[in-house]
Amino acid sequence: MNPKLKRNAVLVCLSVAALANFIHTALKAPSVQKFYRYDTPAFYNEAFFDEGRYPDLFLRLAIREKEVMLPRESRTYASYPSFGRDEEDGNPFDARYFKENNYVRYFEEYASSVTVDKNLPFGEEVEAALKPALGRFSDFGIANDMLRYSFPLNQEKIQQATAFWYYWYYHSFAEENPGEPGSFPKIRIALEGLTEAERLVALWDENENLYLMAEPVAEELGLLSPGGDS
Amino acid sequence: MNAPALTEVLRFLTALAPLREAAVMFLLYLSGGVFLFSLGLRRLPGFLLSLAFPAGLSLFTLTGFLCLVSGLPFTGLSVSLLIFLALCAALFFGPGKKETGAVRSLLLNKKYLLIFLALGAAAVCFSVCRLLPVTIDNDSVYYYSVYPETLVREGRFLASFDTFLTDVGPLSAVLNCLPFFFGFDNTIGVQTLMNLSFLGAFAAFMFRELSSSGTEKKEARLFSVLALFFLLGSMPFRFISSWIMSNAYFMELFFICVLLGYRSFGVEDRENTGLFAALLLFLAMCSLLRVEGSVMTVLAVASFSLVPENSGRKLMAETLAAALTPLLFYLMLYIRLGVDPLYSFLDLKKAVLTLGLFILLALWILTLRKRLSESERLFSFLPAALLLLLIAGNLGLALINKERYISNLKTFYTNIRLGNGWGIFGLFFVLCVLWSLFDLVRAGFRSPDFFDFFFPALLLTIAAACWARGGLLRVGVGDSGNRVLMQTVPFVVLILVRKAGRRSRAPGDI
Repeated sequence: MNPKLKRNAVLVCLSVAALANFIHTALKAPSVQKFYRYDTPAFYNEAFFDEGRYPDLFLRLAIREKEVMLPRESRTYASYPSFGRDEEDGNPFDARYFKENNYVRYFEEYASSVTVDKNLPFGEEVEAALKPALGRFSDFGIANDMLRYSFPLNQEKIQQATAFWYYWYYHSFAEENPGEPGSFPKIRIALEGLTEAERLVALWDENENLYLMAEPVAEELGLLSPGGDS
Repeated sequence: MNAPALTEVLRFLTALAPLREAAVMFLLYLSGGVFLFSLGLRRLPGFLLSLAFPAGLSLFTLTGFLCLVSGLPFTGLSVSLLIFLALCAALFFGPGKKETGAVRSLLLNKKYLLIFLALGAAAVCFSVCRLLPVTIDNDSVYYYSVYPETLVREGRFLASFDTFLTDVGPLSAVLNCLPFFFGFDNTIGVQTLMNLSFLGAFAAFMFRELSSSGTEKKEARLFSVLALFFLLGSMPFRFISSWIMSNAYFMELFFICVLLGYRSFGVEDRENTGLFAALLLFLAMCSLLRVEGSVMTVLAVASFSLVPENSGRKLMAETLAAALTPLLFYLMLYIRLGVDPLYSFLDLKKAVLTLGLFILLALWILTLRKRLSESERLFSFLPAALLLLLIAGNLGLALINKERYISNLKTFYTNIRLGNGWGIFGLFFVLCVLWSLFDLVRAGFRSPDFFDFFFPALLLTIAAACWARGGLLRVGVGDSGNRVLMQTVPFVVLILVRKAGRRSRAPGDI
């Protein structure tokens, strides 16, 4: 075959292959996997809000440069009734160990600083305290993955501090017991004043639903006692 | 008080992020460029431009990693200082110093310098503007954002990191610490700039491969542009490059390693030193960017050793560079931290096996290879022997757990057939495999073209690594085995275009 003809034939074949490849990819790729366009420099994309995904991407960004007020300090596993009963119960587990402490560790790690105000509502008190103002909070999605991956923050040398247990509780157990209160805790954030405030307030109820708001909003809702921290 | 729009809040919270991100990326680009220039890479502007950012990023990552495993402070300041010291050492003591001092050279080539700076700045701006869409999943968020931020805040590896230590490539975690050191929120821009750099490197390598095999320069340019278009348009490349994960970095750096390492760039050429420095840097990176990275670098260096022109000294340096990062990490993991989580990808057995492979590789290079290189005939059959060894290894794994092995193979096939991340590129992938095997047989298994044995060897290694990972692969674009296989796309394009380029010449042409 004439060398020039051969070369041109090869080029044509390659070009056709490359073009077909390109067109197919352009048309089909978005239907195989979702792509996100970004309008801001944040990792959290506005589409995640509509989908209820990765609420903690927004949460970490919101608290990174702020002080956060919490209702409690964290407690070790030794203060829970199931502690030391491995021999007796096999694999004892007290869900309160996770529900009461994981958020504390989370804010201690990712916020600029934390303070504790024990006068803030905690557990069962939270729903009653926030019921009139629930409309001011935006629902960012469920917290399971965020909490499941908070195991690195738990430095107690016990079984319940391992990735395996966190996965079991926030993933397997939740999926097997979807109707159980607290299986799919939500993250709710009030955006009012969030950017200007230097201090934020984080509350969570007995089902681990998290409520984050700017300090002025908490004051308006009467959640903060006069005199501040205890 | 009225609630602001979410977009407003996001923009407010990240107001300074683009500036910081751009500054950091540009400084990394400069650092990498200065490093490679000082070590001799001067007269290959295409390579200098395209390898500068990957080199700078690797310097940051490896320096940060060394701080973590050695107990030095792991902060933005300490890592930056160490990089600065490394650059000073390269500038004042690098091999280029003897002829024209590196600093003087830099300042004399003003036009070159301006082009380098201008192109770098343009690429950085493009990357920071977020013009290209990306894809994100759980791993992107938890492995490559939450974990790195935790690492920055703690300043050290902790036993409580548990499966993050064993399931996430440690160097990927360190690389993703960049935003949290320097005040921006994510590595989307970093990955974009890495992709742009890689595309430049791919085109440069493609051109080099074609022109050195006798294709006229004008034709080589045309084929290179076509190859670039082919690569850009392929669905696997689209997914891997835009997925915020470690796969993109590994795919790109591993490809660059193989192209740099498989043959010398010219024995007398001083550029060799700069490119060799880049190779060592990228091998050290690839070994720990992903959990299976070490096994891939063993394969790469073992394959380089089957090219007679590659010297034993260089091969040993490559082996040491690739072995150093996993060795340091495993020592820290198993001796200092005593970590051994339930259900992890990496365990002590696999770590010991990996180090064992490096030792065997070193012994091979120091002893048997030297002996066999005296017989050209015997040496010419070594690539076939490597393939046989890998086939035997895979058969062994299949015997140990037949279900897992066969299920994984079926899953690979199903993902390609269904186009899960493959599109129609699956056809080209299959064509590449068949064509390579055909040419291997046609050569009588003797002195085959490097890629005719390397590519099948790579696929066999991937099959083995996916088996060793434990668990079964799943059908779906996001399956880790599927993503690892998709990482071979630059090799597929290179091989097919190279073969087509050769076919386009008349018999009797070089």
